Amino acid sequence: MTGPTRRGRVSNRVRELREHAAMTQAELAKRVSASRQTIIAIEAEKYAPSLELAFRLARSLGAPFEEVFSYAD
Amino acid sequence: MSQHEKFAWGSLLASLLAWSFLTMRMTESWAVVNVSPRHMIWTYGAIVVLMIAAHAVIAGLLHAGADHELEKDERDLAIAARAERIEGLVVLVAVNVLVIQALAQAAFAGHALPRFDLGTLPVLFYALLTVLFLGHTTSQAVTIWLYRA
Repeated sequence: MTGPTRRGRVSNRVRELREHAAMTQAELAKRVSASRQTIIAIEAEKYAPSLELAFRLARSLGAPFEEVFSYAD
Repeated sequence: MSQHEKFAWGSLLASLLAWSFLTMRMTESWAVVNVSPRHMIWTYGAIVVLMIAAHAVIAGLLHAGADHELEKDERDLAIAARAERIEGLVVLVAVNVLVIQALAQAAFAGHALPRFDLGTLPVLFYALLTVLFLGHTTSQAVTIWLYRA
């Protein structure tokens, strides 16, 4: 389910991988057709992206999906 | 702050302003006064024009200062959908309160609930428009809260 989430359930390494790729939040946002605010919310784990956006993020960051996102029960 | 959050702030302020105008036109010392239908039609028209103009100005100002952020992405749509659901619930509850109050007034003359005389057109007009404003301001407040949560 997408939308505002409880912090920590769906975790991600978007910030780490983005910084490793020397990309700004605005650049990543443009690549995945989202707003910079959405990237900020995803990096802060305040928003869990849809599968589609999650795959686009992983592809843009050049990493496998499971390396970018993880889910803890 | 995103353009959509700024729009929500503007819309919230515009609706509070329009509701204040409605209250100023329809009440005296917080009691609805008996005004003519012409007065209500003028008030209604002015509120519609005020809301349309305010939202057009807000959208214009935001559009002038924006680069590519005006299109809603999936998070914006998720927030808007959640705010609309809560707005629907608030309007549902408010309308039910009015209905129960009206039925209680008709069936039990001595009931202890707060009384509004919905039998008069000015009170009905003010109550229904207030419900609409309540729903809209709730939606905008929830939108702002979700962007900041």
